[in-house]
Amino acid sequence: MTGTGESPQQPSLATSVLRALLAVALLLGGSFLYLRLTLPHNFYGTAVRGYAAPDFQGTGHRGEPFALSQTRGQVTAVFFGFTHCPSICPMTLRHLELARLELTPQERGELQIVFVTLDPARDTVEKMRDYTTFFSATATGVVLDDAELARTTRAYNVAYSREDLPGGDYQINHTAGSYLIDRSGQVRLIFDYTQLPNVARVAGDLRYFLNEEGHAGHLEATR
Amino acid sequence: MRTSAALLAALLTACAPAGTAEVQGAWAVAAPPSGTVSAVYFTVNNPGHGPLVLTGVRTDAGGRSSLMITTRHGAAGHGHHGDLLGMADALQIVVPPRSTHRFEPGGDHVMLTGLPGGLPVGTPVNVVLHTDGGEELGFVATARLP
Repeated sequence: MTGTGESPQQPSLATSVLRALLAVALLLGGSFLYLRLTLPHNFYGTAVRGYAAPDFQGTGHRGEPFALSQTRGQVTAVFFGFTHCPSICPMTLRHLELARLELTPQERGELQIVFVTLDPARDTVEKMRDYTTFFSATATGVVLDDAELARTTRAYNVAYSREDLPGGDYQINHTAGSYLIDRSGQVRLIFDYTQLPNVARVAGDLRYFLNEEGHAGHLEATR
Repeated sequence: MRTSAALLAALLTACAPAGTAEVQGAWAVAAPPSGTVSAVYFTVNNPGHGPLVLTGVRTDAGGRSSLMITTRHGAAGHGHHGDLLGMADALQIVVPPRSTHRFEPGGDHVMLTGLPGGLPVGTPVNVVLHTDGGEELGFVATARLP
């Protein structure tokens, strides 16, 4: 049996386009609202679901034993590089330092910048001291032994590889994220190196974590 | 006759002299006394009708100087943050006609290696770029912190 009634009237093209635009607007508006409600701050770096920053132990650039866990209670920026790096690593160190200088004196005192070498074969403690303090007044250069470096880079998902150059020299290819760790020891945000020249925005993210309410309670809860 | 004139014009265009090019905003990354590497950044403006082909570089900083490009490869495995960044010697870098090319942090640059005593802030580095036509483009890059 076949129907003899009229088929439903098809919406016009204009109506269809209008409905589609309305759906897109609702989707975008809903996403914006969700992000505003779930992210309390308009982060510049990439905010991540917090996870415990893997600890590592090595030697600081003053020759002292260094463990990342020592920085618990402060906000810490960690990145991995090497002193034969002419471009990305000096820029990273310097721009983190410039962002630090945007903070109040009290905030500055609660921020740690940690530079871990991916090239312990060439980067002695003395070399790390010269390089790190040249680009940043307060950063700490850290040398890990080979086993600790391998374990740590795996834990932070840092990729790096040695590339031989003509003449017997070599360079280290590496990823270039800076990991921001909150006072309770959680990795909360990652800066791509291309973001760092905007030191005002970087400082804004640092300031958020330095002044985050409830950090002390969070700290107690994770101990 | 017309064909010959057109050919001559095309040849002249292709061989636009490097002297028409300009370098602006040159600076070098200062390096600590024990540092042996640095980078020079600048912007090349090529107002000519033909491409400007940079084939090499020399400086008076000591050690070796080379044109470098920054390479980016997706890091193997999951969860890595960003690309694997590296550098490679550039055989040539082409600045298209009527355009500018930026040598900048994280991108193309002149790499200085084997510096004898770092590169103190304020040090002038004389840089000469070579072109495929045999011309030279000289400028000074002063060392500063990034």
